[in-house]
Amino acid sequence: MRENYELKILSPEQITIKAHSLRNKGARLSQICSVRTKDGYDLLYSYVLDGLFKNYKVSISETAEIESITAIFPNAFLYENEMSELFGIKIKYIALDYKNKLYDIAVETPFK
Amino acid sequence: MAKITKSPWLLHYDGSSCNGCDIEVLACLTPVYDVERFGIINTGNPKHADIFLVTGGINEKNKAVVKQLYDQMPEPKVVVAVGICACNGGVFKDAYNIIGGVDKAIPVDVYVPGCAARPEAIIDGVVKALGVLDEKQKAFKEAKKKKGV
Amino acid sequence: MSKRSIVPFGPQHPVLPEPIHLDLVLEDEKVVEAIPSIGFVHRGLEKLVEKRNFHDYMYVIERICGICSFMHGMGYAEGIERIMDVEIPDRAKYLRTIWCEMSRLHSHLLWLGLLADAFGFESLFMHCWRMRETILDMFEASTGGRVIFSVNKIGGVLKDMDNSMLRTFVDMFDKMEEEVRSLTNVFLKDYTVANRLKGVGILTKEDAILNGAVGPMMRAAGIEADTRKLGYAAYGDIDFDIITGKDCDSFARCEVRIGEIFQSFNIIRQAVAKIPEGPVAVDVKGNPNGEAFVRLEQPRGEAVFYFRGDGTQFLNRARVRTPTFANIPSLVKILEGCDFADVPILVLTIDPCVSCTER
Repeated sequence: MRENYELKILSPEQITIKAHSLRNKGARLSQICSVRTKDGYDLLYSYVLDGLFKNYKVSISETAEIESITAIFPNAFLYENEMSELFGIKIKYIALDYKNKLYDIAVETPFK
Repeated sequence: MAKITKSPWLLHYDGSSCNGCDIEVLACLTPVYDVERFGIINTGNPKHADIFLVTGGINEKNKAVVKQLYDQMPEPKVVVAVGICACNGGVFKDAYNIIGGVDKAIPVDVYVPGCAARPEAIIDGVVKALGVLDEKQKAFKEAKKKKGV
Repeated sequence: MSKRSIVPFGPQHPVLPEPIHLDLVLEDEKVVEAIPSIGFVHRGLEKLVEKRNFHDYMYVIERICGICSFMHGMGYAEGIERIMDVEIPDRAKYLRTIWCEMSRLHSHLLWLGLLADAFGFESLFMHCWRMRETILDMFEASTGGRVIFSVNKIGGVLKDMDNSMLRTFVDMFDKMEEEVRSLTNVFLKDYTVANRLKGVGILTKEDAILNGAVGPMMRAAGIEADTRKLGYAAYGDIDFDIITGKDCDSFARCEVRIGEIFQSFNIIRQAVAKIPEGPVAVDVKGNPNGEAFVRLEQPRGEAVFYFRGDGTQFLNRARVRTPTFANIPSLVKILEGCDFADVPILVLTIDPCVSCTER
């Protein structure tokens, strides 16, 4: 049996608004990841609310800057640092910002 | 090897392995394989250790750690690279954050192949390392005599 | 106010089989803040997907971690099967379930051993690892490997276990269960163990959700959530209850994991009783085109897999969010305010798997 999960599209401005409303409902942030696309990135935010798996896809351009959700979900700091180091996504207001030194990789990052 | 002249102590460090070899190294120390019957003890302190077991490949961040641990160990000392990643990078060779095997950071005396290295192979490697340790000890003593210390 | 000092913990530390580094801010003997720093084991396996075709990538993803190796391979296979819309044979689903639970058994016994070692109970450590070897022997008999198995493939599994082997395994598990019970009784009843674990490292229900804790960490805080209940592989046909704790401390986490050991014995028995005959794999043609999420319950908790393919033999993106990665914020949380001498035990109670975390 395969899980039926939700996958919805959000605009970059809605990231923090959605995070707020999910937090108020008692959701848990499951993961954030990014995927390189032809002209930018897809960010995937996954939450678990009452056992249901909810995913939100945000497409951004290469130069776009998004807002951190660490003020809403403190555990987002690892995912956001990872994205900014490996993919070069610009995120402002990360609570614990490693300044692209989370993994401290020797080769040049982000990967294009 | 007719007899063991020393009860060597081990220091284990995980370079960037997948954990497979690490748990096999620990499995060597536990009842079924039991290298402790050779008088070998796993220690956490590099200054107590004679044999350095390294699992996993080397990346830029742990290179310094491995070197530092090696430098802290007293002479004579032997390095055993456990698993194919520690030998030359193995399946991770093409990954961007892997420089290569342990020999990119420190001199290696014994290579133990396998993915993951089997406990029998690790024990074999350690026993081989004992032979190397014996030779190094002899050379070390002679060098001391020559110096007249 | 007493003076603050920063003490580095790791990467090389006697209780840590793997390297992780923490900067601990201390006020006398109390930890005020802990700042994790990772990257010692980072290899960049998610990126390797661009250099290996999607069949070969199976062997890379299995080597993310040597403890939950089987489940990483399985998560990958289920993800690609979902993208390509492949339905695997029922027997393969049951075999995956059995191997999953065997992985959980050996992982939890391994963890109990390491925990015993961390609080200085050497003989208990040896006993746990001795029993674990029986399971590794079974793995070797059924898959050919002790820690890395490579039995998953896209479209099923590569090896079958015949029915006489399954029956032998159940007999062995029956014998083992008694032995394991006498062992776990030491953890549950010995007052020295309780002394070290009770009331230490409390993670409340609210904190667990806020910090995104998963697996036994979350269940020990009284949250009833287990990804196995989604019914992937053959879990839909199997009857089991979610094990939760109520005290939210290290002892509760130990209790939950012990409960899960016996639950695994039970699940394997049910799966062996119900396993259907038939083939164990189907042929897969073509290349994956599309995206899929998969969630699995690994020994350390929920793992999230995400794959995207574009119709070529190389995937665009492979993403594995491993349970330890999700549990690190909770670790930071429980370290705040603890005694410095309790740090090693608290690091161990999240069951850290650093090679999973950093990939």
